Amino acid sequence: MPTSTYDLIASNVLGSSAASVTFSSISGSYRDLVIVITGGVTSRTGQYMTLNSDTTDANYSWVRATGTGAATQSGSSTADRSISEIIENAANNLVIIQIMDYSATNKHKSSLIRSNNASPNGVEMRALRWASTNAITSINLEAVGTTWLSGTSFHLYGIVS
Amino acid sequence: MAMTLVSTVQVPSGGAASIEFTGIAGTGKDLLLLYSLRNSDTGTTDSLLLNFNSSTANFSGRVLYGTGSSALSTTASNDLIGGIVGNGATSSTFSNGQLYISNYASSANKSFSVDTVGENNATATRHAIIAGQWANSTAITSIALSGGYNFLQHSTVSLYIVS
Repeated sequence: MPTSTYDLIASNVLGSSAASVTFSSISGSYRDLVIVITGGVTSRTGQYMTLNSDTTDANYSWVRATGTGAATQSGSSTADRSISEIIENAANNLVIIQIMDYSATNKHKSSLIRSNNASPNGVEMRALRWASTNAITSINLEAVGTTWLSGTSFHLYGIVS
Repeated sequence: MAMTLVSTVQVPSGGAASIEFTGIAGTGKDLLLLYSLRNSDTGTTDSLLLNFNSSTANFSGRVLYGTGSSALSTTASNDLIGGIVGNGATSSTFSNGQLYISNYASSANKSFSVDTVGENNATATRHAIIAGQWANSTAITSIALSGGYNFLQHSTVSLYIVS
């Protein structure tokens, strides 16, 4: 019987709208972390991922590419914690965040993020870097200035190394 | 779906010219490779090369990538599957990615998917997804990653069998 290597660490399905969701006390025993968000936000004003309570935007940078169905776009930032440009005020969003080598203490942390909004916004790929060599032990996912919709689910998985 | 860890390679302090997994059992459906890499290139980026069964022939692919100002597409006609952060890049940055190979033990050509980022700073970072194919009917029993320079310490690669 295969050994389980894709473990559900924690799950949070919102019973009511909430401004943010936090996973804390994350063990360092995995190779990568995967967060799957299904749902949406009350208002399309952006979403932050904050690692280890570090809210200094200058410690985060990202590059993205987006396909809308009619055009492609790309953007970048050197001081921003945003995870997506396309998460909509509807429940049909799917966001998958893979945080690579999250417990290493000798490298910055890269996340590969795929946001899906089949209609109307499209699909986005994003790489978000946290310029810190600290192991990640907590993750906060914030709907900036608004709330995650009731029913939105957040699943945190660990991939065994 | 179940995933079984085959092994994890951690590059030691002396570095490594390549990272190879051999003797891969044909017992699964798919393979997943997770990697975090930096090499000794004095520039900011080097090419990451892939081979299956020691073959670098018959690879092809299509690449979609974002530069921060443009979303572009190109072809990959050889075994290039993205970049490796070189030692001239921002310290402590590594290229990270995942390579998913479907039906690796079948007698059909092998399709694979790559999602990767080569970090430096935001203005020089490239995030790419790659649709690849190895036009070979032989079951994959070995995988190797290499570049033009040695991989540096703290580079890691993990191989999983998906069944």
